[in-house]
Amino acid sequence: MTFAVFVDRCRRVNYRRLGAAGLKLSELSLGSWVTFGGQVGEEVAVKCMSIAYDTGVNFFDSAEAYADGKAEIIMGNIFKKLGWPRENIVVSSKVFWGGDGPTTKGCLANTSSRPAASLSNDCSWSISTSSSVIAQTRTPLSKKPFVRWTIWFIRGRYSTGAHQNGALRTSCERTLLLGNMI
Amino acid sequence: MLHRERVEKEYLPLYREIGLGTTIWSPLASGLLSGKYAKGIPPGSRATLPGYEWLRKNTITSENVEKAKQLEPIARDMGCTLAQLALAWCLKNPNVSTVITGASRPEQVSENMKALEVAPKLDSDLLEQVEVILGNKPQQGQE
Repeated sequence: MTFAVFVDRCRRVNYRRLGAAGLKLSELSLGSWVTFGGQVGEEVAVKCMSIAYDTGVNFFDSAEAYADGKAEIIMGNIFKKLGWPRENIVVSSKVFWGGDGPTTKGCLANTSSRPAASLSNDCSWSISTSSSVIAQTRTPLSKKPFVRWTIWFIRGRYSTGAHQNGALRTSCERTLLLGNMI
Repeated sequence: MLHRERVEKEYLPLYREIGLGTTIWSPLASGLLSGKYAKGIPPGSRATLPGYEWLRKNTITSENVEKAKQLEPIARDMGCTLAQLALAWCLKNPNVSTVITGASRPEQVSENMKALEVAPKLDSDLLEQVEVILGNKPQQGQE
């Protein structure tokens, strides 16, 4: 990409800061829920991501649970294939919190059982203010608004080798618990 | 447009007290706000996928379909699609850091991106017209 093209690209989209975290995200972003690995395969996904990126989108969202992990893998493959400079993009993914059994819930279970996903290999920046996590732990706000809120903010440089057990392990290692503050 | 309580009311302390931004999702309510369900459920749409029965039950309700139909003329007058209007409407909320869009076809991405040009045209009069149709503005007050 020439400098002129890059400048043009950045003019089309406004970037907003992700709250006090300060990270700049494009106002519009592209997510993979339902679509990647479900309604669409990698060929269509790569076109969708390219159009978005060429417009100035710098934020791409996925989750461990989307299409049973396929969405993350497709997105990760596309990052590799297109070879965008890593510093140009921000990626979020979310920890899968489900499972019915006593050993299938929560981070620890996921850490040991999760197959390797390709997305984490490409994340030198990953953020998640996971609405799914919030949704499952939320209780109605009372006089103490943050009491039972659990909010994960993941930010870090994932090094190779740290993700042997998939994105989740790295996520957990890098996760800062902001909730339960009061 | 259809689920506003959390983003516009419940999360207010989170924006204010600990400075969180939001990465909001499903801004088109799984396509409902593109108007695609105005005349029933088209084959191949998300609502026909196995495991997405909840979509028909919870989202593609007659009430919501009706709201989408009523919003159409506003979009038409603005020279944009309903989907672009819905995305632009989300962009007007300063607590929204980014609007996560989804697409099953590349053309939908191109169309969605044009919402960036629609947002500046969405003035207070138009927002009020939208508000009247939606009729679901969260009541502020006790948090």
